[in-house]
Amino acid sequence: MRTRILHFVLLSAILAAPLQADGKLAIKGARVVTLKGDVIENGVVLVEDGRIAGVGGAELEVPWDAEVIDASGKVVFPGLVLAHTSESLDRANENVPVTPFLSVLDALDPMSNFYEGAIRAGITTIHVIPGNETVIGGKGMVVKPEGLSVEAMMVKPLSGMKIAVGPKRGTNRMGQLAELRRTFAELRAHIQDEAEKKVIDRIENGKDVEEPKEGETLDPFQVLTRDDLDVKRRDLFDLIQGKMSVFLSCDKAMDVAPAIALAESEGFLAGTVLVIEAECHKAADLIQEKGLSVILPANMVYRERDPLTGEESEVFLPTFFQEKGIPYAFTVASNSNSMIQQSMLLQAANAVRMGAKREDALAAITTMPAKMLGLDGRVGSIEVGKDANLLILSGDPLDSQTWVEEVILEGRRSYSKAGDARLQKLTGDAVDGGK
Amino acid sequence: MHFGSLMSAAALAIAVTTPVAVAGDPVAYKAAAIYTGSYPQKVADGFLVVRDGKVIEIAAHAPHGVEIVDLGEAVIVPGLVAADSIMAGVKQAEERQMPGADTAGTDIRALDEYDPYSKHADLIRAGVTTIYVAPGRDRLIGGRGAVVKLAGDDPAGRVLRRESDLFVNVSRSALNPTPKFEPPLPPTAEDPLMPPRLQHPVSLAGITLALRQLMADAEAYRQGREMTASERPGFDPILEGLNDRGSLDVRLLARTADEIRRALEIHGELFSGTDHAFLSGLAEGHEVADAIARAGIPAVCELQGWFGRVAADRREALGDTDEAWATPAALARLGVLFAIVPTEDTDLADLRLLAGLAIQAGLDPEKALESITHAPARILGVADRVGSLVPGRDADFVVLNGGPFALTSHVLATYVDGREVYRRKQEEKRASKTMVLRAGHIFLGHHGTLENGEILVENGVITELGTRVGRPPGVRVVDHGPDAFVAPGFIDGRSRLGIETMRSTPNTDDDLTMLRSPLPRGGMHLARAGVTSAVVTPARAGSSGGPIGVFHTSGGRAGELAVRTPSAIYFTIDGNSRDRDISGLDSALKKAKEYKEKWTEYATKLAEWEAEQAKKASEPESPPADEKKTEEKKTDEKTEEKKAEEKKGEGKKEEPATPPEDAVSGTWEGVLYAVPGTGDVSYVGKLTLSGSVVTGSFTTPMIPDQQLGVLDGSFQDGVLKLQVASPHGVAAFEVTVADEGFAGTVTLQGEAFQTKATRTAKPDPVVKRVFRLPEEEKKSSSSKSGPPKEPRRDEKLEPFLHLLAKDIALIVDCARRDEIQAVCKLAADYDVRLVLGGAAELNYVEANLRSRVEGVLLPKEARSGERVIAREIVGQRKTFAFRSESSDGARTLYFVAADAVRYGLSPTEALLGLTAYPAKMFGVANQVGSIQRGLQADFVVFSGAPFDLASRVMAVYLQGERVPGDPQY
Repeated sequence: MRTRILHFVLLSAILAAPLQADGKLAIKGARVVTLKGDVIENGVVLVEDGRIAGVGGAELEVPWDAEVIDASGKVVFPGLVLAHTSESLDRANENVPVTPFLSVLDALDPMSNFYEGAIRAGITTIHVIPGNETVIGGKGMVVKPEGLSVEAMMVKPLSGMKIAVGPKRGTNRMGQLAELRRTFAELRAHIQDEAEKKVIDRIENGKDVEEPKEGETLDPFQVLTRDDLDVKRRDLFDLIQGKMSVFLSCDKAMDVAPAIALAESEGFLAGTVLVIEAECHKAADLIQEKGLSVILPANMVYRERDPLTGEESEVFLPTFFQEKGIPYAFTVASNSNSMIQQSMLLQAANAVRMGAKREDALAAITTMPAKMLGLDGRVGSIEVGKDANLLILSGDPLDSQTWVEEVILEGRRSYSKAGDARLQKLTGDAVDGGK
Repeated sequence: MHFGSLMSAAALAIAVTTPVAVAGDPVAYKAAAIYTGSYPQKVADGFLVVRDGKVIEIAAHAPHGVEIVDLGEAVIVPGLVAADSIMAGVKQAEERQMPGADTAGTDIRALDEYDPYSKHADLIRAGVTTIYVAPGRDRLIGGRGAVVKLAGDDPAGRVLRRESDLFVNVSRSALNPTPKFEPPLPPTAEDPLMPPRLQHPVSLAGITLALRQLMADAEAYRQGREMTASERPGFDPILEGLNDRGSLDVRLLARTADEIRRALEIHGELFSGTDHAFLSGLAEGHEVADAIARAGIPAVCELQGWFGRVAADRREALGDTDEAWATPAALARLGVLFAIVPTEDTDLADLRLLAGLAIQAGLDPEKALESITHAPARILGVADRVGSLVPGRDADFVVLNGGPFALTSHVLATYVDGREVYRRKQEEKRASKTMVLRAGHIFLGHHGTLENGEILVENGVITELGTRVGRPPGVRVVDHGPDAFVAPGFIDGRSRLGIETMRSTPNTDDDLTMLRSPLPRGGMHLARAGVTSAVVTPARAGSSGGPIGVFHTSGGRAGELAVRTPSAIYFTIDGNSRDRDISGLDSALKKAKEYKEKWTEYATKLAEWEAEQAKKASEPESPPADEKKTEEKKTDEKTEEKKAEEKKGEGKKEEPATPPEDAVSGTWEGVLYAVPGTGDVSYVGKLTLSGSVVTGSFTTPMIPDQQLGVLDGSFQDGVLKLQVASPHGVAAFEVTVADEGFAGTVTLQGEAFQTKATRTAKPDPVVKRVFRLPEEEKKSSSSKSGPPKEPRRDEKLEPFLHLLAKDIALIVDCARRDEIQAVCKLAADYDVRLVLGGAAELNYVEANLRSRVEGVLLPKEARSGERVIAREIVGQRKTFAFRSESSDGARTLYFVAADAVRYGLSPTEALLGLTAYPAKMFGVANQVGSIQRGLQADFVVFSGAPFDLASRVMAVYLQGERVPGDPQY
């Protein structure tokens, strides 16, 4: 098994090498939706060494040695960014509650069908992280949907920690929150103990350390480094110093307040993104007050019947959060291989149809998730210097008849609809119909 | 007209009816009684003044300039406080999953399980506004409880105490060891996988030991944590939680007497210091009440209630002990502060009833109310916020429709922080037609008077009568006082209400409902004067009789006013007029009799033929008769019904299926052009042509909810002429009909307007009673002898069949002795019920003929000189009715009766002449005219005895609804 993986790694390295060497591309004639500044009609996008080398109008000079793609009448759009998924994990750890030391790195399956579907849907950046059925579930990573090994797919090896406030299946919130509080209380007590031990140790061993004065408190974070702690605690040590992002999952509105209280008291609020279910919108005021952003569930409609008055109410989450001024990102349905449910473009189109602003809906599948993942300098928009993750679309991104015709992933022509045998088989002639 | 803006204005009006307390604006709630939960206990007819969610004061008079919400007969109590609950809903199995040590979860917080966004509808509906949320309760130490409110928009504001007490279980339920398995991750040599640990203790004595050990460990741990890092014990959340108790109280759960004693010992040994401790459970508390009182600690008593459920056995019904009910009373006697809560398996919504039952077991009612309001608030340490209605406390209160412990009291509304969080909405609508009416005297009609009685009215109908009737949830009780006198609504024996403008002479086949104006203008005035029904009779009857209908004078919608129509057949005999001599009546009755015989004969023949057919059908196949019958019923119930009707043979007969199509009958949709002020007006007409006479009605969005009847209509040579009643006067149509449309002019108030209309629907081909033989029978009938041929149906004679069946009465207006005699003879010959109209000379008629007369419709002037006709009629043991012969002039009908009383008629007879007598005369005694179960709730309420000059009408009810406006004459 291990040797086979090694073969894949070698193979991919060999295949990738010549392409990357002289990967100069020029996409001409398209309507370029950069999501950074104005839309460029009849624009040109230049790609070199996997990055965007130029964006401009028809006057932009195309290098003589670049491969030119004529995209006349089409739309060039940034590759989509999926902010949160637990798909493609070989087996998610959701049995043992507190496992901050685990990473999806060890569970990710590069051969998963999920990635094939993702690239077909134009998703070029994917955040894989342990699921919500956990307490402290482990660390996530950001990958691109191409590559034969985890290393080859890697975009960002550590994206952040998954912490769930909504209870694990079969348990309750009292237990869940007690577990969380205990973990951090124990951690802080342990760090204090370790710091004191270290100081005493160094004094006893004659190292030049000043003995702490009477009444002076010891700051363990000054004394200890990450490596002074055991493997199980190292990541949480970073976390409570605000050095790691946290994807904090809430099932109900009642989870939001304790989640935020925990994040505040343990010092990771600044790096927190909330992963919410629909009912959590009731706690929007609190979310707004703390300036947090949210990752919305795939089903963005919340319906409720008031038990006292019998009145039915319906909330459409994107417009609701838009009005509250809370940044949001869309996700796609989990456990779904349906092309429609995997389409983030359709999520955005649906949101606009229901009243969301066009720029917000487009941002929710590109720049906003990129920002949540700390990748806003690399992906999410078409700007010089960013990764050349580009989609060539047959029409407007929010038109339901639009197809992803071609995907350029870090400068390589990675996917084309014409070469997508599985799609051809599924849709037959319909693919060529429409536009 | 801008209907849109009118609509939105109406919506706005509805929206603002619920007072919304604007910040700073006080609101005073007026109630029949306000129970404060503190001192003074009860304020009668007081005002609860609320501002910014807080109680400002409880006053006998409303402060000046304050918005007042009058809750009427309702009662206010503080929002109920439950000192225990299983809202966190942790089951034993879940508790096993909870982290930490096996025995104690000192750091577990019940608040984490409370959803501050939920509406908690069941409890809010029951008036429970504050509860204690318990953590798990099966460990020795379950965790930390919390005190929360169940409503309020600010989720954080709902929390009264985040952590209120440490839940210590010293009852036997702590003895169930829950095996606990926590795999170390990853397992190492120092921290290997171990078998699950058993929870301790396993005996009651062990509880004290285990707690003692825990407290000792906690102390040792505290000291250990102060040592240098290398000697320091590892972090232990359980012992940390035990040490870091802050301001936590201690709740000791103990149920049986020995558990309670042990709890008191533990309290004395371990928690007596700074801790505020209290007991919970106490099923056998009465046995150790003295010890509890000596220890001086408060108690939360669990009671088990079974409302609307049947227990499986005695143990289930009574819990661990059947004497738990004695505990509250025993504690109250010794002055122990105590609260009442339901046991785990009792519905928390029954809290109020449980306290009520404790009264039965000897508890003082004041203490009972305190035990679910102020006392639990004190025990939980939140008495400064909730539990009593005292200035400065939260305005959490409950509006009940009766005393706090009356079984039939229900929560009408619940307020939290001064805001209405619940109101009984659906019932409110129903309640307008559902009420209990109390009065000192209720005149039932023929059955005398009920003293100090009650009438239950549901959906406009009297459903119960008696000294104490049922109280359905949400019912209003209207008490008119011991002097009040309730009589059935009055009936005007002859009225023109709604047909004032009618000039035509209706025949017996005309439906008065269609002819009269749908919502007569004077009706409301009449209703206010107590005249709730009117017998509508046209001014002139046709020579072959006219129809009479009984209608309610007001209320309801158009078309719902009819009580019965036709309710009698009406003739006028006047010897001086040739076309009204007695022969007309004679020939009409003769025709009717022949008509009836024809149908009787037909019915007999048909029955014979059917019997024959049935015999034939059963012979060849002979299926079991029963089976066939049920099958038939299933397949064609309608046919079955028709057959049943037919078999009765009582003049029920059918008509050929398809009526001939004509140019007029059907639905017409048209427009009236250029009406000043409104422009074009659309209308829909439904017309029926019979012969050359056109009947029907119109509707138009200009006059919503009204049907405009066609007063007079004709169709000749393609010209349609209609007189249509409208609130603006009679609209005269003169239009030419051609090609499914008509066009012409409409004259209204002297102005002529152009109109055009098209026929959008023709009359339904299946009209009225269509008799269709089942297909199979038709086939068999074609073989030999067909069914007997139906006689022709004559609509004019139809009502006479009811007359001959004595279903309705014959009303004949006649005055002279010879006329009366002739009419009486005819009535005897044809064996019909006879009511005479006028009949001043009835006294001079021979007694044997006179006996044919059932009753007399008194002349308008019911007295001549000192002669009171009604008295004479009573003397002859006949019934009589008063009449107005006008429309809204009938408001003085009561004085006509009073006048008769003045000259010697008994008040009882006078009342009967206004109510039960006319009801019987006009065949509506099964609906109106007396106060009986099943009859319509039409009442007149007098302040004292009727026909007493000092008495006035206090209220009038029509079909259970109070007639708006002041009663008047």
